[in-house]
Amino acid sequence: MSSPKSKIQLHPLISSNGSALYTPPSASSTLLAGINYPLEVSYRSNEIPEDTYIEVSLRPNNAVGMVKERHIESLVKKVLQSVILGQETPRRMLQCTIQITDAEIDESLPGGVKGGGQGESYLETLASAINVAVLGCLDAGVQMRGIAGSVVVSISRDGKLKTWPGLKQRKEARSLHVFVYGREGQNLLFESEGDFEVEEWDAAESAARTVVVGKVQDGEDVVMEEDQETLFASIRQAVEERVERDGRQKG
Amino acid sequence: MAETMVVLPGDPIDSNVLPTAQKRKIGLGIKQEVNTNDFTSTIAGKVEVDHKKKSAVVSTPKARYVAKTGDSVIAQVRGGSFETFHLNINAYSPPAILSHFAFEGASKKTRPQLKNGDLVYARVAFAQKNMEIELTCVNPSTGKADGLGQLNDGMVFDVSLQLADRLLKKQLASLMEELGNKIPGGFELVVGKNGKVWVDCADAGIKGIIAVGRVLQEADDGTFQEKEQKKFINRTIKELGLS
Repeated sequence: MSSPKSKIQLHPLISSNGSALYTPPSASSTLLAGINYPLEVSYRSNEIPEDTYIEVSLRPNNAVGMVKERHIESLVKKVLQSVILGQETPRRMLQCTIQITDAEIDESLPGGVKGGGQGESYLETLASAINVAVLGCLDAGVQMRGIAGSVVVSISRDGKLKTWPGLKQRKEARSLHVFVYGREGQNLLFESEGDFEVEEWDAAESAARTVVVGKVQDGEDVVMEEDQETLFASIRQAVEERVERDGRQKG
Repeated sequence: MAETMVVLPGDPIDSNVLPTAQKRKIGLGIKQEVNTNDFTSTIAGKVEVDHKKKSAVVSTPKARYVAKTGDSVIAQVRGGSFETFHLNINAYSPPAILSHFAFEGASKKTRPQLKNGDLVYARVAFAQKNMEIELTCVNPSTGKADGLGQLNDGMVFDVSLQLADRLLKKQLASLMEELGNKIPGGFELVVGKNGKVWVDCADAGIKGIIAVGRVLQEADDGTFQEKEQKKFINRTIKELGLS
């Protein structure tokens, strides 16, 4: 599967602990995450004695956050909780603010309505939000168990799979799925929407795994090839570029 | 270190790379697995092994200033009480305190007169987690100011911590010299480790200050070659009508 790569930029903001810009291969939106960590917990009752309290807030590009955004926030929070070593900074807070800075325009609608409205599926935004939040945490130096990555897969009416579908393909799809994987390919989150068979779901899952983690051989072992353009490889490349850039600045 | 090793959280780190001494310090970002000799990283960055210090850490560039004892910072007076001034180091750190007596030659009768909004170049005398940061404007061993004290006139620019560090280590000396030659009367520069730079031009005035600020911001973007530097300085000077 040769799809365009995700665009990642680490540390676009100067005064937050960590930040990241993420554009998925479909280029249907750009998200900016700012991470501040560790902070004092703003409400005492939110303090967790043995863990880090995580606060996620998501702002759409052209409106105020509503029910859809709250739902995405809760799911991003769950994923972050499973990858972050919260016990390293007990009674502290990790603040993750995600701003959608750009959204694809729906050419088929009169006047070209921007995507991402309340009526639209939340799955595309969810997958990008998870990716940008994890990248922001990497940039902020948050202690983590491992990285995580996610992808959207659509199944069209004729049963064709497409990873990172564009706005039009998402509208025409019979079902949409989001898969989130951890470092070793373990499952962190699945979300699905629409009509689909179990076989189709299985096929979508394996396609998603290929895009995020890489090819799976002999059941368990994940083969990491150099030229494989997985999401994890892109993340690694982005971090390497950041280290190199900082080395030059120090030099 | 010969080769740079960049790790992501969860990556295994070869224990052969790490120091083996009894009293080794395996620091931030490297975690030993329970009951084994395997190490994994927990943060993304470059593995830095120092065999002399017997230490290994994963280093990530700092983005937020955390006060450390001995740092020189530029702070702003935000209030005061009977014997102290309350100063702001940056938006996210707690207010720092500066005693009225922590100035050169200050006594009960000759107190420094600082108003709200005044800028002070001070050294961090005490900084610990969950406690107030204490500043001082005097060298405790000599009683002299050593260049610390109130900053009059001028203007403060926010820069990244990396740039502030480079300026303090005089890595940008050639750039600054070049700029100083171009601006009539030169300029004065005070660098705080908290990512703040104070600039004043006695002769060229506000235009000179803005020129220095622009060059600093351009230098902050990182990639700035020698030739481009000169071009940029010349352009800035011309645009502002300084020459």
